[in-house]
Amino acid sequence: MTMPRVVITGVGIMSPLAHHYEGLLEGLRAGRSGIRLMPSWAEPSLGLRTRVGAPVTEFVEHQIDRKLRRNMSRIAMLAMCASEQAIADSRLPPEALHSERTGVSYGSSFGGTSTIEELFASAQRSGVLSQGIGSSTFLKMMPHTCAANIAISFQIPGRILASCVACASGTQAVGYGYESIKLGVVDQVICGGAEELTPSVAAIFDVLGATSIGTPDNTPRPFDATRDGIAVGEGAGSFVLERMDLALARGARIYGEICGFYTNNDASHMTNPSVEGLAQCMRGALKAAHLDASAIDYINAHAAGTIAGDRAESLAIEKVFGSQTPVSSMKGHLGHLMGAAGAIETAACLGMLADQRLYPTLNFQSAGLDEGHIAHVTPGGAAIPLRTLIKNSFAFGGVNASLIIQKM
Amino acid sequence: MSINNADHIRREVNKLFIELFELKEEQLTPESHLFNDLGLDSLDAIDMAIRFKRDFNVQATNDDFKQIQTLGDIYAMIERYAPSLTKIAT
Repeated sequence: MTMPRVVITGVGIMSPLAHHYEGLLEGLRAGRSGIRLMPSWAEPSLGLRTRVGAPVTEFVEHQIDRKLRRNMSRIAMLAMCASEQAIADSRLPPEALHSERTGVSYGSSFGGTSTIEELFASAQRSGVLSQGIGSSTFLKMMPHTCAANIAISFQIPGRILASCVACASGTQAVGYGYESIKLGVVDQVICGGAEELTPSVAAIFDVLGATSIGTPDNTPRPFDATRDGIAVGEGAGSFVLERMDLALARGARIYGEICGFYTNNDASHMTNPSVEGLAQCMRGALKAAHLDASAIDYINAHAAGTIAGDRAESLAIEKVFGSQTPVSSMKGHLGHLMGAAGAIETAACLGMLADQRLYPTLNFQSAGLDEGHIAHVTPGGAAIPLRTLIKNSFAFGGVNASLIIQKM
Repeated sequence: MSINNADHIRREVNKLFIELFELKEEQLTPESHLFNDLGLDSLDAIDMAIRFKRDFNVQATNDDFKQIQTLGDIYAMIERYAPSLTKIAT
């Protein structure tokens, strides 16, 4: 039996660089950074070390209908706005969108962390845990809050998948959406990933010593020998995936074809990445796409700017692809958008496919001596014939996910 | 129950409805049906009950809330529980 092919026909973005896809690409092309100084994080009661984050600025929550917004923390609002853009961009007919042949596959590290913070604050103020709980508290906190809110906001009755694998959530959600279409259980999927930025998320990575204490003008520095950690951020990236034959039949604009996906686990340590686990994930994606490593023109790395993560990824890339295939990370521009990272970086990949130009790793100057020997995209980017790329995302919990995307 | 207190209850309830449900003052009449006219639903009803209890110490039962259909029913219910309306009383 021939499995259906899967294409991307719609993109929507809420990011620290822009509130739409074209704006994101303009920012990446121009080498702009979405990293901001977070003055409120200097508040002593937060006990934070890091002062840099990547917020989505000037977001107007009240544009969303009250009854929908009532059940949303900021994360779901970002996811909904990005999905609204993606659906409009795809021009998917309403009868297809509202059919059981359309599903939602959406990822995030957490549910609404601001809702959890509000609950803590209320309990602290009142001395009663239940005092701050309202009818929608669970609906805002639940790990599948983005997927459920998207399904209800746009009346999508098919299957719901919610990937909650930290920083690999967005990429895994797109991959699971792709697999759902391949399996024939749906024809269209609204998919992607989101995250909201709160002090508690910054604090979690602060305690682990993973956050940058640098300033917005030079951090984060993925793959650079002097990298000093991540800048946590927020955003949402959404896509419409469709069965290729249906998309072609209706004359849809096609951004690219997803032709391979793989996800695995290091099965060794929660936070120390395994070079072999990462390598195996990329090999798995190649096998799923029936491609040899030599078919890959570009690698979009997870590389967030941590010492251990970037080193392991560079070694794994060298192991699978050698030292010639160009590599870059978007986290110098965007920060680490957690559950949104894989999705928004996938959108960046679609921009590179369209531009036939690779965007470099912002703030990267030179790699350390003990890193893998890989071909970093030089500042200013590089024009190349770009047909096939692999996009990596790796996460705490030992979770790895890789997508392979081809230009049509 | 004095007329003044009844007016006060209306003002306070309306204020809460405007804040919680983003309604406009002119939508809020005693005849307004909570679901049909004001567009509320079961989740809104829960939040409303939570706020009555928290802000005004209204210890109404679930059965009391199930009887409510209009904004006027709410004013009447609050009046029944007037002795415990600490916020309004002050």
